[in-house]
Amino acid sequence: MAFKHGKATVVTLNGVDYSAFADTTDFDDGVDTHETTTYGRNRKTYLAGLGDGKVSVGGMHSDSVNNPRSLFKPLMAAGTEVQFVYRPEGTGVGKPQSRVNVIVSSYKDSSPVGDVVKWTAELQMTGDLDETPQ
Amino acid sequence: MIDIVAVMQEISDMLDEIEGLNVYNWNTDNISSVPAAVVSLPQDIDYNNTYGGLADTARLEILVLVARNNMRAASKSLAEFISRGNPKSVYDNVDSKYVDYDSADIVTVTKAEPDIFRVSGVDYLGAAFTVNVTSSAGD
Repeated sequence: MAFKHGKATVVTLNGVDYSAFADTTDFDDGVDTHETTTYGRNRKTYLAGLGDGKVSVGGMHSDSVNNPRSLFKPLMAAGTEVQFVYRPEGTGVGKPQSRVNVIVSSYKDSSPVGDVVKWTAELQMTGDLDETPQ
Repeated sequence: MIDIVAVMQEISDMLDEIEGLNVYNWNTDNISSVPAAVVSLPQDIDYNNTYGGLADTARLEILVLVARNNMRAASKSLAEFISRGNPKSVYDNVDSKYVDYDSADIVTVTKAEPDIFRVSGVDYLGAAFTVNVTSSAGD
């Protein structure tokens, strides 16, 4: 068993690998829960419902080809549903992978006077989540 | 990915444009003539600023030294190097706001700190410039 460093992470959106411009990914997956507690119980009970999730991503702004601003903003404006791929251990046979369609729900640029220009975006998952290893 | 050798050489080349400035692009302890600028190895380098380890940042120092035998003349001389809008300005000649680099995406001169510096037993009036460098894998 070995811990894995985040620097090896690979992320793609709509088939475009934007890893070189990214430094953070929060892949937030969950499932709704519905209370089913009845009389006579000492603790609450629940039923699992629908799955849902959001992905929060961010990194450094660049003027290079396939930079995040030119990748994310047109997709957000068009409301297009595209595939997001998250490989927390990098690319390789057998390594973990999460694939899900997303809608770019927000994009934010930050320009601090004393630091590099940074960007963040929120992706809303839509539909099935495929976590078959690579 | 940062190539420190290339970055230090490019910064030295920019400083060479300043008339009368004797530039060293290594951590020298032997100053043959002043005014002099010493481009030192980075104080620190942060690797892996983006996934894949393709973006690095480094913080290095440029030390500008002037003769100290006459403090009034020395102060006036140093003031030209630490000012902006002056042909001898280190900021104007090094910061990537005004000059383009091949070896780095961003070169930012963040501050200058005047002081007395001793090199090989000799005291000089000088200023230490802090320079932040960011390099990526490019296009």
